[in-house]
Amino acid sequence: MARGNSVRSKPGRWMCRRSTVAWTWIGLAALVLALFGLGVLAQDPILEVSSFPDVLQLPPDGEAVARVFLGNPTITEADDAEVFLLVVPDDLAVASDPEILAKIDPFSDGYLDLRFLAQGLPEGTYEVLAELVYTYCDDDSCFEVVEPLSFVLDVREGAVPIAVDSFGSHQGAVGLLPLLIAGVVLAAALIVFVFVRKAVIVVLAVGLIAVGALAYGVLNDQHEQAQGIGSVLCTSCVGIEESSHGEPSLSAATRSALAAIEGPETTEVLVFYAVWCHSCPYAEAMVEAFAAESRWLEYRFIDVEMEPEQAAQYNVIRSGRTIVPATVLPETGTVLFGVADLEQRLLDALRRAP
Amino acid sequence: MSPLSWLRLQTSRRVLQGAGILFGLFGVTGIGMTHIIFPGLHCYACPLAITVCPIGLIQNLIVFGTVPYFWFGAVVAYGLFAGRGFCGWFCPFGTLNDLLSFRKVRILKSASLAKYAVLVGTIVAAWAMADTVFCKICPAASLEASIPYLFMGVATVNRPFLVHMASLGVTLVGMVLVARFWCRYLCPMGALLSLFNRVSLLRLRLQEHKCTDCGTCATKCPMGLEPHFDHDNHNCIKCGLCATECPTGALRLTLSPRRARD
Repeated sequence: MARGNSVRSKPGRWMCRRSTVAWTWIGLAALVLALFGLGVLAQDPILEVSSFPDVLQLPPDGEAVARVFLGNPTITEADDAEVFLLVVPDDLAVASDPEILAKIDPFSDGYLDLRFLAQGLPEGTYEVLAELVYTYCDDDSCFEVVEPLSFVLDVREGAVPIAVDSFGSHQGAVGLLPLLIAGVVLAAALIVFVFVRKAVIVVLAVGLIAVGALAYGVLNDQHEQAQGIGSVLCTSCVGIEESSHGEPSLSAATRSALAAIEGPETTEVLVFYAVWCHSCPYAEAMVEAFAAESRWLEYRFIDVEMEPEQAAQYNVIRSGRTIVPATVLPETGTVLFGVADLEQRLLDALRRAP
Repeated sequence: MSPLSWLRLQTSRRVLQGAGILFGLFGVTGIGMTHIIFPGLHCYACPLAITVCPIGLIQNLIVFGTVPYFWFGAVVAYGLFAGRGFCGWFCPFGTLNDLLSFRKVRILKSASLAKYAVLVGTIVAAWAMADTVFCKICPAASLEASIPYLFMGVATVNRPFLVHMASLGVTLVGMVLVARFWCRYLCPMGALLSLFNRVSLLRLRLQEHKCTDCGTCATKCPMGLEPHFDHDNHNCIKCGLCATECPTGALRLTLSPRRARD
């Protein structure tokens, strides 16, 4: 190795470099603080509204609950949030609980439960339109915000609504408050650093922020979310197959083959899906297309994150990982993973069924 | 460094690398997925994984629009503890790089910045396409997910599988030609841990008065660095090979807080 031309950093130079590093840190922190400041100042006084579940499943005479989450990411308090119903099918009563959410504090959240009571509603899919109205007051000027809401109801005999206690009371993490606290801790550490000149202070502050973030994440069940992400595998996610989108159309051969299958009383097909899985809607649409061509085929879609015990029961778990989309014929125990060539595979599986 | 301490340092590193592989494949016990984020690049889709891949997780969180508090806390904690030390001491994919480290050449130093581009690209792609784009080309996923699922009958040989095999092939050839090719130039997890490399507890110390500038350390460094005048590099994986080979004992691997003059 060349020896003569190696330039050793002398202590003086080293110190100089260190302060350059420090100024880089200060610059970065200032940038982050400025961004957060801008974020707070430039905010629209608008609530983050989301509702759960996406599709309400209920029997013709049953009831189901949709939870409307209202997150307030701003520094202004929101008041009097209320849902007004616009389009509701006959034979359906809707009640809000509580009727009015009087106050949503800054950086906080709340929710309204909408109770859908079907009174002999025929089977089918319905859309309920509503709007959310709430007010924001800034000193003495108040203004009203109206957000459209819509709910999709899937009314079927034997449908089981999702249990209310599985909803959780938060929808994601709300607000900038934790980020602001982190920014303040970092800024304080940097100010101390400017006077004391010990980098360890900044490092300790970063460590403190990391511990705080971990704790806050765990409080918000983000560790459960991480585990959930790890334990459900979608076939296209890590490249086991390509994701398929759009509506499948059955080939003429499949149609005639389906018609040729002697009609048993009923054959059930289950599709296991996850809400975030890209290919799952395709698998569901494929099974729906099959059902449209045959009177004897019944189907059910199962969210593996909501009903993991069903996933276990029907054997769509491989070495601890639930794999979606999975199309299952309970009668023969056939499990078809993914969507590649699903039309042919499903047809073959149905032919083998008794 | 005396033969005994050489044995100690490098043997303990091998033992910990083994522990990393064991931890990565702990699913053989059937305990299933845990809440732990792996401190390295290890595919969570691996049938035997019990931990969540940090790069896979952050892509999913971006797709979901979650503020990643838990992820951030874990990654920063890992970074402050050992920085890229996890690459040299624990990461199973790093261990594979290690086993193929034949040519410890010093080339393409500035190309090591490419891994930051990979990290940013991973995040931007996840955001723009609402999908885990990086996972579809990740060579660790090729090795730990694609191949096992092929044998389990879940996967078939199709285009995504061939893309995975191509990325794995290119990476393996790269590793053979340039020691720690993946860790040096491309690993997004390495890029993340690099950010903390110069403030981490685990670090390489150089006692300048003992150093004779012989350059032995530079010939042993799998990352192609020159520890004798840049012992605190952002790319250093703290494997300690330079310290074990240093004839005067000027380089040491320590686990201690930094002081102003270190």
